Amino acid sequence: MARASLSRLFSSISELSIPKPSSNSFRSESMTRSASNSASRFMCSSAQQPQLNQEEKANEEKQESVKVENKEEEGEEDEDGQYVNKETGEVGGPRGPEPTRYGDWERGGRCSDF
Amino acid sequence: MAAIIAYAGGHLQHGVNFGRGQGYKQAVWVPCVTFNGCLQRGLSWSCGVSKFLQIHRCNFSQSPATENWKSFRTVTTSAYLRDGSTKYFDFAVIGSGVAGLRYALEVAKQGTVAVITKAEPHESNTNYAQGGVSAVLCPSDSVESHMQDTIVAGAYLCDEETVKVVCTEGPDRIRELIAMGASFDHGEDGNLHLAREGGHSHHRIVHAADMTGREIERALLEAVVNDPNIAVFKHHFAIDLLTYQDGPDTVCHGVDALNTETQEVIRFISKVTLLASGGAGHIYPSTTNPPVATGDGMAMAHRAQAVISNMEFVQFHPTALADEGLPIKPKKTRENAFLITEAVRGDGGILYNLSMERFMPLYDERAELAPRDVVARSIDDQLKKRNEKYVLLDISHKPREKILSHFPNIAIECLQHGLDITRQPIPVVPAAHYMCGGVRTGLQGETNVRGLYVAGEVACTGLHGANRLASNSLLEALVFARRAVQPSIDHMKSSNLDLSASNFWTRPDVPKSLGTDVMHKILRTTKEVRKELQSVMWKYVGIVRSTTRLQAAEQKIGELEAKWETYLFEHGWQQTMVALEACEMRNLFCCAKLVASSALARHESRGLHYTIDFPNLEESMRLPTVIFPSSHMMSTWSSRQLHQQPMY
Repeated sequence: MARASLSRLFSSISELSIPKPSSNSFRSESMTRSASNSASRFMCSSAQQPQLNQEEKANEEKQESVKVENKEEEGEEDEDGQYVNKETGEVGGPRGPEPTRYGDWERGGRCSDF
Repeated sequence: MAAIIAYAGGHLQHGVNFGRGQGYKQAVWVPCVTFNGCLQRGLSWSCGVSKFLQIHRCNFSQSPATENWKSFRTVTTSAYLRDGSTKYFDFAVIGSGVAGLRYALEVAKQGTVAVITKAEPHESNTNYAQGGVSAVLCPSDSVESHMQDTIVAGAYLCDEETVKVVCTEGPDRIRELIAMGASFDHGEDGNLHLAREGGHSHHRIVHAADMTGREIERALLEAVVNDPNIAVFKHHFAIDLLTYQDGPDTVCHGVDALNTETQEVIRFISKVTLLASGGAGHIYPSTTNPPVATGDGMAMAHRAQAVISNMEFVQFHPTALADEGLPIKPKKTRENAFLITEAVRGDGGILYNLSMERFMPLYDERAELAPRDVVARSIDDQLKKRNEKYVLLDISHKPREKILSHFPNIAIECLQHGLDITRQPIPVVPAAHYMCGGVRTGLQGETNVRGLYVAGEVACTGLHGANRLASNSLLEALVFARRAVQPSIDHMKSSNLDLSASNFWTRPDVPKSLGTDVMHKILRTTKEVRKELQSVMWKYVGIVRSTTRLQAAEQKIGELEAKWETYLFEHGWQQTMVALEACEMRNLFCCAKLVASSALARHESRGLHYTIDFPNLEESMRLPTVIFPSSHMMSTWSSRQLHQQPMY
């Protein structure tokens, strides 16, 4: 991937206010699924259309993230603003697929316990 | 170092009673055998270390030295006294992870406590334990089931009594944590939400989102900070335990520490000491552990004549992101590994070597879906055969959207280093994660050193056996920290401690006299030596082992240690000098040797220990590996306590 488009990607990622994951910062992994999905959708679109300018990209990403949120609704916020997983009834848990579905504990691909 | 290893099976006579799945029990005592001037005794798990001590005391009469010690004026030390470089506490706790803090909070109800930690208090393996803690908290679950899962995962090397105790007491320990303010995820019905991890036959993992260790650490630290009886000494690096011989017994009365911020040596005199210093991941080049995990506790305990057990069982994760293979290398060395989840393989990821040959089918018909330990061994074997640094995990043949939605964290991390995982394979290498072995304890966290207790990863309690079940490590720490409390209090109450004890041992000192140039040289060399040691450990004491390689490891480690120590002393280093990097280095050497010699002693493959010379399980070898204290005749600087033994 060209350096120019890589840096555009990074600046766009930071627009989404996703904390930069580092090996020392586990807090960054507790980003919400919708935000992480937005990032992934954004990376998808930008890879295909490297010529888009910043504004167009931001708009496109917003549309995509909305689509994504509607499609992959797995839970909702309860009265206290806590996330409730519809499938498992878990309150305050991690969003997205069950972290232990393949045996180890993972979030967004990073394993933290096994 | 003349490490005496009693592989309590081979040539010793004993009777054995066990049945498959019921754990191991030894029916009779093993007779004493002298070897190289040291006493060698086999121990059984069920007989326990404390019983060993009882028998020992019966056989020996009190020595005159003991009476001299007791004739000192005795004072109670319910309030600690400060004289600058010496501090007096009822309890000294080394380490500020879950084990250390949990213990501190309990014993603080009975006396004064010093928590000694080498960095910031939250810098511990606990803080990085993200998954959860296992316990039987569901009506449809059972202690028996948790026990069975633990014993199966441990390849039947677990101590059954220990497993029973931990699985039974676990639920109460969790409830206490909640009462202390730890906040775990719950269901809409108000009950704790329990997840199910690999190896568990029931849902029983209690967790706080994905930061369980951090949440537990937070809650405990808050309580510790608010406890008036607990003083936390952060950035205090523990150097050596303060021990002396009371007849046949070794007794511990505290620890020397180096304040790494002020470069001042502080002597902690205590009636009771708890070692809770965590793991030793940094004996390997790639590890999930934070930088503090340099095996300090295992090394100090070994130097203090404590018995060490099962060090060959090192748990690796097969697929950590290999920085070597990234187009843009991280600016500074990653401090702890980025582990790629099994889900990538579960979703269809394929493993290739650097010649783009798919190798898993050569090792297992399940290929990439083989169990994690099989995958780890296969990768290790490929790397050693081909002399390469990493293999490739390729998911790029899957739909781009699926990859990015399932594994955004991997995608982002790799992208930042110039790798697009939707188009290119991910470089991966196994990373050391957990030490199943350590300082051998009885059921109360007691060791063969009087006044010394251990809990957490530094301990070998018999729970994990040959392999750790997921989420059992936090549980073990909680249970044993709690169990060590009453015996500690009893010991504290009966202990006679004298203020003049502080002069009993030679004090360590900082190398001010060497000057900055020499210190720079020494630090630089030490850094290089550490890398070399890690490289030797990975190459010769990795996941797939062999007798030849392990013997080569022992030789190379010995040579490296001698070379490094000679360098130090040639540059003016004195026996009692201390510096953080040098002390960590001597601890790493100590642990590396313990792992290599333990691995050599096990003539079978079981759990995490796999050797091509003995590739199968041997029922007759289903015994712990035990390392007894060695004589000091042939010892190195790294294997001796800094202070001199007291002269009578």
